[in-house]
Amino acid sequence: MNTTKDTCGALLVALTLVAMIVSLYMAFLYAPTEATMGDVQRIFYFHVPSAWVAFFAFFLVFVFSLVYLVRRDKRWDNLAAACAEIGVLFCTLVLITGPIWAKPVWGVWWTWDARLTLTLVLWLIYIAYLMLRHYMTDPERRATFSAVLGVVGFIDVPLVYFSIRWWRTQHPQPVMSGGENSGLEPPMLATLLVCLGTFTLLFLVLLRHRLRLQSLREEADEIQDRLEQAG
Amino acid sequence: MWRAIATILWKDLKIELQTKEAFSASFVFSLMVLVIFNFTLDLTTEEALKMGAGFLWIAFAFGGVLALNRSFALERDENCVQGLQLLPVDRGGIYLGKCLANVVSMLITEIILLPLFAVFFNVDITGRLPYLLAVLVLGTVGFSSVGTLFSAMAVHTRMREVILPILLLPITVPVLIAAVESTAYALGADSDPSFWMRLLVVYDVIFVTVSFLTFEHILQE
Amino acid sequence: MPGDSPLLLARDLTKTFGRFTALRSLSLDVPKGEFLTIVGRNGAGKTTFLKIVSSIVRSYTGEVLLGGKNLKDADEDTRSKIGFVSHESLLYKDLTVRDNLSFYARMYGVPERERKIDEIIRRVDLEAKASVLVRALSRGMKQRLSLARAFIHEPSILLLDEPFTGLDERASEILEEVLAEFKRSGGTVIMVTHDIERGWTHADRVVVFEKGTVVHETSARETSLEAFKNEYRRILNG
Repeated sequence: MNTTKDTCGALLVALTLVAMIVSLYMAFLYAPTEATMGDVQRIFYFHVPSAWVAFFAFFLVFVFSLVYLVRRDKRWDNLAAACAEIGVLFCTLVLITGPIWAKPVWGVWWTWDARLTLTLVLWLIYIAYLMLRHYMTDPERRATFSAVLGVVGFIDVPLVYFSIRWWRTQHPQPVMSGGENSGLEPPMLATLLVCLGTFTLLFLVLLRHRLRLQSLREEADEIQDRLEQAG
Repeated sequence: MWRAIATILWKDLKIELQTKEAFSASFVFSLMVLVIFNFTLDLTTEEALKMGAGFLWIAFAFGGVLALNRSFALERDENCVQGLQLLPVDRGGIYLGKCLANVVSMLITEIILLPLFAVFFNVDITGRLPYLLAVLVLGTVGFSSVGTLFSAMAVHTRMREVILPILLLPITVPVLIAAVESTAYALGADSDPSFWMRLLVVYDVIFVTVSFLTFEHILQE
Repeated sequence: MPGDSPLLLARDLTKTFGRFTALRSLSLDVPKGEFLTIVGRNGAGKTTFLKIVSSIVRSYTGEVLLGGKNLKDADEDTRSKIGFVSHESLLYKDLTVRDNLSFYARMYGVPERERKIDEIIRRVDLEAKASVLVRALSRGMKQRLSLARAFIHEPSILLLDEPFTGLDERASEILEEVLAEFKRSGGTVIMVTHDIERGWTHADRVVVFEKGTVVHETSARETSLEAFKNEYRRILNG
């Protein structure tokens, strides 16, 4: 029923809004200032949840792609595409917040450490996914090919991560002090978890909207077709 | 299925023998990459030794993309893909045949490039030659496995072959890292010979299996 | 023969490409040995139907049985019964005439391969060009070779999509001969064409597709070509 869905949707947005306000408060005011890095460390509360959401989104792309290949129902393709788009969005956030944090703390914009490099490669893989979709016109073929890429891409993720990590142990970087998880006191942990939850809610809100957009687009196309046929 | 693999391999190699298009394009391009490295980097002999493995695989990767593109571009003519779709054979067999043809094609380019690389960068390739050749084969198989799958996809897109490197290179990062590390050892570095080699084998198995299983979706309508 | 179950059974075929519906709940039976011609305007679904029957397209709703077996999970045996001729030659430009046939013969597992290849090269009058690259053949010769390609594995059902388009005299002649021979030997044919005259010549039955369904059917033996043409014109304008 439409109204139930709309109510749920509205509730979700309201909840997300509240969660965002709470997160902002906790990240900037409630959480104590980190000993070595100072206030810049607060970006950690946005950097890590973004990474979590991006990874989760790409995992969903994998799942929905698999289901599409089995079921061939367009709705799974829509889901996969939506998750990929949002995943790339959050992945970009990670890649932006990373350097912003790194520069004042370690003096360099970028480190080729395992996690950041993995994020970059992931970003490239899913940008390629979006490009593939963009350059294909046949909807069924596009769905099938994207699904294959979605499966292959995600299977690749652990391979990329471990390769980079083992490669890094052979070519170690100067050690960066004050790693992300050093000294996580309870209030910091609490803030992190709250932000994690907020970003997940944000993901769901965006997903819902993206899916709505897709179905509106399809409706519009259908109406256009009917008008054209009527003459 | 073995019949299908062998026949496709025979066909692709025969066509390549006739046109030499894949070989010439990939060889010349790979060579250019190596030469340009020389101009843009101007390395000392020591530096060349350290980074040589990396250059080699960059050259192989970029040249390889050209060879992979040819693989399905030749099926686009006269809609030969439809001919393949009609055949009463396992799609996986078609994939393996094509993949093998690509591996052979890429290996030929690589083996001819190797001595040239040795000359340009003053690197000794004979020290651990069998090991080096094994790395070439394993690395090429890994690259070509996903490459063949994506090449089949690329042919159906509006960007055609241009999208292949965009799709392929990020995905093959594990293979490239493992291949470069193994090659570094082959060229004289002081490292563990078996670790990255074993990893290459694992990657090859994973990539070939996944590509083999998903290929039928690409060929299907 | 009356009483035999049809070689080809198509039931409720529906196929959409995105928003466009090519076939709507189409049902059609083709008895063994029948020569069926399908006509209709562009976009009526003729080529889509043929692609489904040839097992090239596998995603559709509905059922197609060839010799009793469902085409969707068609095994190798069933698929090797199908021969397909389209206006695209499905030939490799950089292989010779003989090598092209050799490729398809090998893939279909044709026994006594070399002998059959020699035979069929002779049949389509390409003996002189057997070792020539397809790239160097004229269009008519390519079409003859494409015909040979379709027959090399001795199919029991032949599917043709606009086979007469762009054929020269000699190629048309050979195609006519081959079709007549095939029909005489009991083969089943489904031909899609715009050329009503040619389509009529060998046909047992002619069927008109319009907007993804069968809108008219007539026996080519019992009706005159003129009568059919009038009816067809009426359908196209109506």
